[in-house]
Amino acid sequence: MGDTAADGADSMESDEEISEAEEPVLTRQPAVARLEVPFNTNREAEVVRNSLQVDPEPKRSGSSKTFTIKENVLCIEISSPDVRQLRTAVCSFMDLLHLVSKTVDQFGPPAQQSKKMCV
Amino acid sequence: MVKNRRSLRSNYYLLAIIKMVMVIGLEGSANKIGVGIIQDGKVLSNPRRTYITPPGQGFIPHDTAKHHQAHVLEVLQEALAEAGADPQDVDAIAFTKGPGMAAPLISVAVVARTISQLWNKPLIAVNHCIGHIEMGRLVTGAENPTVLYVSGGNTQIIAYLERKYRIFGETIDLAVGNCLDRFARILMLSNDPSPGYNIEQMAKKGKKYLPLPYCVKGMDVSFSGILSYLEERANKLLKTQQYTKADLCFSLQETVFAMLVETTERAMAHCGSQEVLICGGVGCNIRLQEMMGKMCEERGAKLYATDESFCIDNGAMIAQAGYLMYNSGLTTPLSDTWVTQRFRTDDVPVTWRE
Repeated sequence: MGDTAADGADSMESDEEISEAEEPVLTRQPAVARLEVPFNTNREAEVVRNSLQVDPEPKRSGSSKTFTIKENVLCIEISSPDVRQLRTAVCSFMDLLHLVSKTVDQFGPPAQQSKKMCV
Repeated sequence: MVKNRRSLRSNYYLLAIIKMVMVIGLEGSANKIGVGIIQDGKVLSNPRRTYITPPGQGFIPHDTAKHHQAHVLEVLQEALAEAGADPQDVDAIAFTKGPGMAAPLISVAVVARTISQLWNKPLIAVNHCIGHIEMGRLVTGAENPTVLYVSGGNTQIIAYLERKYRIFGETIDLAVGNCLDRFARILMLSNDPSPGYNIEQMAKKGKKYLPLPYCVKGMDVSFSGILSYLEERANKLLKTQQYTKADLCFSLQETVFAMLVETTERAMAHCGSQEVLICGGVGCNIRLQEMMGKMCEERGAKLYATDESFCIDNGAMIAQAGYLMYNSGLTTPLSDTWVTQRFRTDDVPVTWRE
């Protein structure tokens, strides 16, 4: 996926016509889901993001997540190679997001950060 | 007795620092979700829930994760209430980093990370196996035992040497508990309270011994051969009434436990150890304790075992390992709190022991 290695450029020069005809289409764009979840405060949105962004997606899933925060709103973008994998990634994510939100509701609000205990 | 004033003063400060430390531990690497609170070696609370599947079925990661997600907060509330603890009283939050099943591990880790930020307390990522070992040492008072750690997910013989829990021997394929659990499924035994418990009860009524493949390979053990052997023959043996379910349970236990006793004894001989500690869910099994006890008696060694509240996965064991790590200055930055399915016992620097 993405750019081929630099050494490919050398063989391209001599075999240009042939290699263009043989070049298969390997990937198309990923399927993407975008979620926006508001919280009570910017700090709460940060807490939720910090808890959820630590674990990488399983390697074989080919999915990835990006988090951004706009004021008190947590924005998550999940992209996967196809719809089936996107559904799996989004469903697992929603379960964890729900759990973390419940945790904030039941055990929050966030205490004053006297010193940086966690990054 | 007081050697000199300086050592008395530093001992006093050390005591003062250790005295008030309270650690909460969250565990959910397999089908048990437990939260425990420990303060200075005392278990203040240790509630737990078990995800039990119908007979003939094992537990799969996704469903187990859903179970833990549904119960973890309730169990956490219970742990705090039972301990009479407030978030302010807690000094650190320990949780299982691994090994185990990914989805359940993550479900618990996200809660640990969240309360860590909400309460502004440090996190401590704990190795599950070390949790078992340290709880065993705390509860039994064993000084420096050869440890047999046996559960549904792990089978290791461990000895402590120079700041590491060294794996002397282990299974090269299945954990002994996994072998027992899968056999229980073949027999359609109930998984309540656990398949291993029901095999143990059945085995007590067994009379006829079926010779089974005995598989010790040096310091290591192997169980997949025994399981295949039984998978191929069990139904026929039961149908033709040559053996009862009880006979088969009895035969399997005798064989696998003998293998564990042999490899534990080998480790003891190598280390010159006079103590054995059995921990992990399979450690609840009285027959295993009996057989190990007999071997220890013959060697003049002492056997230590705990009861099911600590043998079976629980939160307090994670809290205890976390407590020891915290007191030796170890905490885990949030970005390093990712969970992992594989986590070798001998990968952890045991900074809290000499």
